[in-house]
Amino acid sequence: MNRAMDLLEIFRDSDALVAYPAGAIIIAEGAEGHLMYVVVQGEVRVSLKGKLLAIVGAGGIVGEMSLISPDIRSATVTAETDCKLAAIDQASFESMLRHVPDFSMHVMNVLASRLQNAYEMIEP
Amino acid sequence: MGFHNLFDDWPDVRSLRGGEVVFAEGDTADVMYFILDGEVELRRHGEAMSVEGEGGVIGETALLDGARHNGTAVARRDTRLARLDRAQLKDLTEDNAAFALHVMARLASHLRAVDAYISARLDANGGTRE
Repeated sequence: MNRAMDLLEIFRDSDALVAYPAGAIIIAEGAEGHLMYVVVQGEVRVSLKGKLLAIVGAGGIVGEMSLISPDIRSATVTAETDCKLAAIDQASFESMLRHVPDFSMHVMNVLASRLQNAYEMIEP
Repeated sequence: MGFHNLFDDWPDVRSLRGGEVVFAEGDTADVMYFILDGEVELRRHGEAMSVEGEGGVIGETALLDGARHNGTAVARRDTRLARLDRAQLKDLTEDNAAFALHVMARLASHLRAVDAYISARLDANGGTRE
């Protein structure tokens, strides 16, 4: 119920997709960053000090924390398979919050679900 | 940056005295709260974790994720809370991107805190493991 929104519809035909080969580092833990990404094709791996937190597939987002509360990157994201991503900067993000129906709830749902998973990791 | 104006004439306001419980760890969640005035302490397994004051939000994670509350919230003094269900949260955040960012920032700050905890524990366990 939390993933009702289809971001692929918005980004599938974007002409600004970036391709990463399997294994490539997309976001490095501890780095500064000001972009979030929508996975348009393939899968990415979110990890913390080598521990797998999540595999995110097409339609999913990663890196959104950097646009919400600027700080160093809290996790590493690598390409699990060859993949294509759409990068979203601060201005586009805020514009989407204002203009794309369901987008803000979608981002909040993603954050809440990650938080719930993180709690489960520390208290199985 | 306040959001009180969003809650002018809000139809569902809950008033509590100091010591009263807003929600308890393990409760199911169908609403979250915006703190109009007062202070709320969040406890986890009985231990005080943080205090949220006027303008803060509580209970959003469980509401959004359809899960049970991860902690207990207790009013520290006379406190007034605006109750929001999912539909009201959706309306407010879609009408007001700044409020959406406010709720997101709170989720993000929790997530960073828990990630930092996990990260520190992985360090203590000798680093990388799968």
